[in-house]
Amino acid sequence: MERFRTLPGWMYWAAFGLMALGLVLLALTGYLRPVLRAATRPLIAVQTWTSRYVYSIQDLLTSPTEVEALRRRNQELEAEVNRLRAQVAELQLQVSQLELVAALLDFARQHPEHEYLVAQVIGRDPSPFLHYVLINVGSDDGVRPGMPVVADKGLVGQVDAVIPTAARVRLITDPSSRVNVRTTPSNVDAVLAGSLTGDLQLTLVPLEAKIQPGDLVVTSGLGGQYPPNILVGQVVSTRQVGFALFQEAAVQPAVDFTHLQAVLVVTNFRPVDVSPLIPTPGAP
Amino acid sequence: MTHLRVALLWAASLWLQLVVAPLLRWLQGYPDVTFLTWLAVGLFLRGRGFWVWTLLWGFATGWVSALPDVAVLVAYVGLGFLLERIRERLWERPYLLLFGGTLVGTMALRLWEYGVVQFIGAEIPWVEALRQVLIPSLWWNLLLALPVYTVVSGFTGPRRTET
Repeated sequence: MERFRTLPGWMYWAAFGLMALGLVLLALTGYLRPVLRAATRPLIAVQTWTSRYVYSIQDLLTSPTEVEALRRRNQELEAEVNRLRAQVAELQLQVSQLELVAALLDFARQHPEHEYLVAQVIGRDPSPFLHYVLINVGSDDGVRPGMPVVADKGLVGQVDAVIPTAARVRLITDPSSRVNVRTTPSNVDAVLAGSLTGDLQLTLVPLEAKIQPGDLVVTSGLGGQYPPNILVGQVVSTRQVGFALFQEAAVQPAVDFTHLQAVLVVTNFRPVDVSPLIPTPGAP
Repeated sequence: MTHLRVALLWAASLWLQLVVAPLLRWLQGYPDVTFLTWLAVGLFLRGRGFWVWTLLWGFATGWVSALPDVAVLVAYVGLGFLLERIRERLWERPYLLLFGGTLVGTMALRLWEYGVVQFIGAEIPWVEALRQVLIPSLWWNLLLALPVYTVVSGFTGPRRTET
């Protein structure tokens, strides 16, 4: 024992190094794994047990302030979420409005011969028997009775009455509306009539006319009430009734009148009153 | 003060009629909020005040509608007389008066409108008008009569008589 104590210092270091090397080799080769497992299992169990209780105690001590902080944070986040939701809704509204305006601009580009005024639909007629809408432009903006009104897909109607800041538009679906139209490519002139249900009907179509479902219906310009070549709709079906003098056709309107939000007023078109030119019976 | 409240109801009902009511379309009929509000107000006001508001109601509705102004004004004055007659018999039974007034008033108003529309040139078959507009409108008005009455009664306060 005495001799062991008198060993030179380098031998201690050499023995320590050899032991360390041996342990490393044993660990690398895997021989030490069962030993390590057996040794660490109780340590981990103790560590788990103590940490659980330590964290519980820590939670207990710090929870009031954390709950308060969490509550505050939650409120902040809720406020942020609400703000972002409102922002998203506003942006969606702007996007839909932009899409609407872009669609109207597309229509205006396709028909550059006219001048347009964008208007928003702000109301509908109180009577369900009538198909009229109110728009937010009036005589102050240059709107006059009789001006045609269109939307991105086609013809909407005609300005019926005007006040300085608003106007009333009679839709082509109104039961009293009559529009002179032409079918294409069949090239047949007819009169388009509205109805209570909003369905459009081609009337006064000669029996010999060959109208096919799918034919487009555009304004003919006859009668001077509307400019020519504005899309109105598409023929869905044709019908011949018994001994009737004319055939009829159902037309699907190009414009969705139930979701009409924005329209264009054609401001450089003045309707022509042709009634004095129509011969009346008994006139000289 | 009551007249100020009635004025607010008048404006609100017109706005609702122009913007919101057409969205509640069933077939081609939708509620007539202006008429229902007028009727509910008519259960609270009597005498000169009632007739002044009836004229204003009729004038405003006629002004925004494509129907001839005079036609709507005449309709409201006629409804006013009708309400007075019903009220003489059912004064102590406001709910019966409300629903009776809604039923008779809606039918009378819509039939009058139908006649006027036919007169100004629209060709609407009678059966189609009944099925598409009259019955759905009546159904809507009966459904909304009580809620509108509740709002109006809460807004104008207890019933009172002006002579």
